Amino acid sequence: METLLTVDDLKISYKSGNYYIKALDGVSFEIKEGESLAIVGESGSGKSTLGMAIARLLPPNAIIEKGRIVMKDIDILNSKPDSIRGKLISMIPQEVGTALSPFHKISTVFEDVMASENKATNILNEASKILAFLGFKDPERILKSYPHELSGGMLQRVLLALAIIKRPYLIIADEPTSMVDAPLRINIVEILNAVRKEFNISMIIITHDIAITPHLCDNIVVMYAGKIMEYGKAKEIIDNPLNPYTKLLINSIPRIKTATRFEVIERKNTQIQFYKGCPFADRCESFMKGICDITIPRYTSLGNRKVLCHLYNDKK
Amino acid sequence: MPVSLRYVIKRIFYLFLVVLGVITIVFIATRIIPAHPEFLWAGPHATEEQLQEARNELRLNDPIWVQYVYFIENMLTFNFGISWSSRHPISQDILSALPATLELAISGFIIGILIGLFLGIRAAVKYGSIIDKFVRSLSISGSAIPVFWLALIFQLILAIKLGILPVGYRIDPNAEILEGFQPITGFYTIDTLIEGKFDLFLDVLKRLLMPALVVSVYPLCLTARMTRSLALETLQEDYVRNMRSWGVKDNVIIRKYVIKAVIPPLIASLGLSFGYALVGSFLVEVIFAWNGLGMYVVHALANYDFPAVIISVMTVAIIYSSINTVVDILHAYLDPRIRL
Repeated sequence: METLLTVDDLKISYKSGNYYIKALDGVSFEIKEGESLAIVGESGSGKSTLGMAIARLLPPNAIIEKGRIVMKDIDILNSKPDSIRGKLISMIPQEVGTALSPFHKISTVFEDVMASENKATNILNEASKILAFLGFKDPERILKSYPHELSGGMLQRVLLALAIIKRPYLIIADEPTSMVDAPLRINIVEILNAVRKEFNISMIIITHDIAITPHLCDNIVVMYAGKIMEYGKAKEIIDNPLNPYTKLLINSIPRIKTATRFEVIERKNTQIQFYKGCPFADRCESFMKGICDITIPRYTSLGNRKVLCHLYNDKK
Repeated sequence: MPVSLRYVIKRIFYLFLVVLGVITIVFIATRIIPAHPEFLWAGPHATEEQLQEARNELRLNDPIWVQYVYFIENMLTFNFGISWSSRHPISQDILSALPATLELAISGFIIGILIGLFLGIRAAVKYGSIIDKFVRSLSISGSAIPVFWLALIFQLILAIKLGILPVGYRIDPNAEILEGFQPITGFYTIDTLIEGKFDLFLDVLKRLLMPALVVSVYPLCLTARMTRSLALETLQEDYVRNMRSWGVKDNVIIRKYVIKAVIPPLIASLGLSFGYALVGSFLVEVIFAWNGLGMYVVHALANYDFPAVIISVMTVAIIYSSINTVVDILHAYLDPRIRL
């Protein structure tokens, strides 16, 4: 399969007063056509920043220090945002309740999203078709509704329809399952998979919910403190996590069968410390004094895996 | 229907309470100030007997509460009495003065909210720029400047120094004689058009422009300030960012979505804006020799013409409260989430 998107050594900071906060620190990965990639990590790991950078939606105080994002020979970071957004890359927002203007009918939003497209196509017909594909029995009624008249699950599908109506190559879903209850979660996973197959769209799923990733994604990028800690096939990573942070993430998935016994890894040091070395050093169960706190680890390739950890630097 | 009949009835009841409260306060105020309206009523060189007779006629010898009950009784039967100074029926006086005030207040109000809306949106879109700083300082200094002072400065610059606008009177004072102009509705802009006198219409418009601009300053500043902060808030909304992510152009988002989100809460402030415009008109009328309700009240006050004062104030209270009621109902129609 052909490579669709290449992110190369991306470094982004946020300016806050006179301070600069590092959000992404040398992130590189690739997505192939039709591939679905999960970006997992906790709050503040930089996963949303990465998504916004790709969709050209970074807030004005974000500074791109270094790096390139290339999609189909188009330099995303140096193109006009209007030529990218919606057409090449689209986004499904996280928060459903505030995602659409309360003053406009759904049909109006569809019309405005499609306004720059070919005028010959009947916009509302097209919208109805996609809504019907997403499982709405009565798409015309949905189009006539205001957002507050629809349920959260319905809105989520409407948002998905808005994101794919211009047939972008890539959609970025920011926490698609975080705001819905459990039965709907499965539903959304199914719909996203169906959309991917039907429209041959690549996906980036930004989530802290690593449990859904094997059902939805081919590959996983695990992020921590602006760095990729581990990259590889979803199934392999879930079955056999290599990086200690990935292990922590996977161990914190609640499981019903094994009762609710969480393995909580305590910090080695009671005080939060910032080491010069590995960003995860202060929380790591495999912390090695004299190595992890001093030197920055390198990426190690193990098969089609990439791991950022001192444990594997030596095994090479 | 987003508005229930019950709500409308409730609001009309509140309106009645507000008007009663206003009448009571003004009534008490006019009765406790040391004033002797009987001297004006009886005329100069009146004897003590004539003064006593005047006092009886005006019921000034009764206790205040008796006067109050008598007054309210008259109000409830729509008997507004006659003016103590002009000796015309007060209702007639007010009906002839009101159109002038409304014409001035409405034009100032419309100019103010249109310019305010435009400036507020520009400022929010160009947040932190020179336009934004200009709008912010204008909206603060504008609401700090007294209207009567501003009126004088406008006259000094526009009429005296530059000579581009006439000053004083609502229409050429000779119009009645030379052109045979007769007011019909009392709104001269409308009357001149009905009578087909286009040159007079322009004259009326020119004379209206300067006082209307002065009146517009308060509503303009209020609207600009509110629009700016509302638009800034809206631009931060998730749905604005989402529409950007789906490729909707920024000017469409601002023209269609931001303005539509800004207008309903702004409508809620229109009542206040109109109140400013109305009060502003009262002050401006005196400076521009504008024969409206403001002039009438000032004249009535100077002559201890208390019934005229109370009923003028009552008229303004009714207009102000009704507009606020209409504004709330309008708000419900514009914001599909509101049910009243």
